Amino acid sequence: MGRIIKGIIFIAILGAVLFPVLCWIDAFELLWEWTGFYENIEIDELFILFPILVFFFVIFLGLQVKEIIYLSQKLQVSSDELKVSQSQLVQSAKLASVGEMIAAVVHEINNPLGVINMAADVSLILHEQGKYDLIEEHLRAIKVQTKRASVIVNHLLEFCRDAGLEKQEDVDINEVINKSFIFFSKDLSNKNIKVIHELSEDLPLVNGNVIELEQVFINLFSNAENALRSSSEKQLTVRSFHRGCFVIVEVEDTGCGIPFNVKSKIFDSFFTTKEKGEGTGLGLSISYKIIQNHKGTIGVESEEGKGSKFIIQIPVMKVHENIDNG
Amino acid sequence: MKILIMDDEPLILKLLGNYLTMLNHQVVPVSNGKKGLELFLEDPETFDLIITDFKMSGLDGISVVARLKDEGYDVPVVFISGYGMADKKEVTQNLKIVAVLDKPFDLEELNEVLSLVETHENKQ
Repeated sequence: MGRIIKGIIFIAILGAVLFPVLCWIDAFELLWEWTGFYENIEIDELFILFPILVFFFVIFLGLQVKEIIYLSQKLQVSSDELKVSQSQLVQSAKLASVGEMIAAVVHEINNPLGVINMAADVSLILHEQGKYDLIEEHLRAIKVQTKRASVIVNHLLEFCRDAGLEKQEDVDINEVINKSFIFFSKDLSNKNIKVIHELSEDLPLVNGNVIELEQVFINLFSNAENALRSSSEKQLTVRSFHRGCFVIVEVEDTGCGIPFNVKSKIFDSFFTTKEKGEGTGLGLSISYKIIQNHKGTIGVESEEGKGSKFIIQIPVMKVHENIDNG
Repeated sequence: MKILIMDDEPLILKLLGNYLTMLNHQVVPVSNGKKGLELFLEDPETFDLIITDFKMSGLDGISVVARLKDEGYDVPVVFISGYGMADKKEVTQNLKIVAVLDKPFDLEELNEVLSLVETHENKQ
């Protein structure tokens, strides 16, 4: 409402300023005389009012400009805050993904640590017994297992830290898929989930962010694992192929499927069908956003009780560049 | 003692097997629960102890032990786990489990458990 009143005042002042200016025009003077509207005011008196009106107009205009600058600064701050919030949301969702699969990560680290500790203990005993020739084998096992644990720890660090989120590079999707399995391939196997890789060998590169894309696959694998918990047939198929201008990845499970009434909500933020404390409801919404940022699409085909198939399409690098260039 | 070891981590299986052999135990190492169960059921009375991984692909350790209990076998069991299970008492309920050792565990911890089992065996 305040803006409407300000608008009316602005038009009124503008009219009052323009009116004497127009009075210089003869035709307007004639019109002026004909109307007799300002019969008690001489034209010359209007010219005295003119600078005063201009003064007020300039003041008013100044205030408006100041407000516009203030609003634009406020908009910039809000936009920056929104960017930070979005980045924090992506980070939170990433950490939540790690949280959801932490048991698997712990197992993947504890197993090599178990071997290292045992090999060291056995080596000490062999050393006491003077069986030095048998120690070498154990030391080699320690080295291999240290490397195994460090791959997992380093990858966890790489995945969790904030840096590199902006980094765009040529990405081999198959490599990202394989890296996504580092954390919990053993866990899937322990849960008797049969994982089938049908990855095309001649897949073109896409342009994107490796960590973000890995986050998408981890979310999909984690959801599939959850959907397969109570299924008699536990199978997860990951397919990659190239069709037209797109690299396509399908993540298909034989799990419980998605009920029809919630299918339209699965990409909404904070929507989850997991037990309280088990899911944040951010995984798929963040995945959707990430794929959108890669100029791709993500969709789902699902039948309750039979399973789900998530389909991701990402433009291959050359097409991607063309889209960027308009 | 005759000990059945079940773990799908080959190096754990090998190292543990070697160590227990060094201690003059008779070791039967297997990499999965199904094979372990079969071997145990072939000659159940001869086994003094089962050392098993908690989770394995196929038939996991806890399912094997539950199955043995259902069939009336009362063999002592030591669980080893990479999931941090030692403080989860519900795992050991209703099953004759001597100990749950979280990976990485020291062989000294295992020695204590073995002494406990041997003492118990001798008393019987």
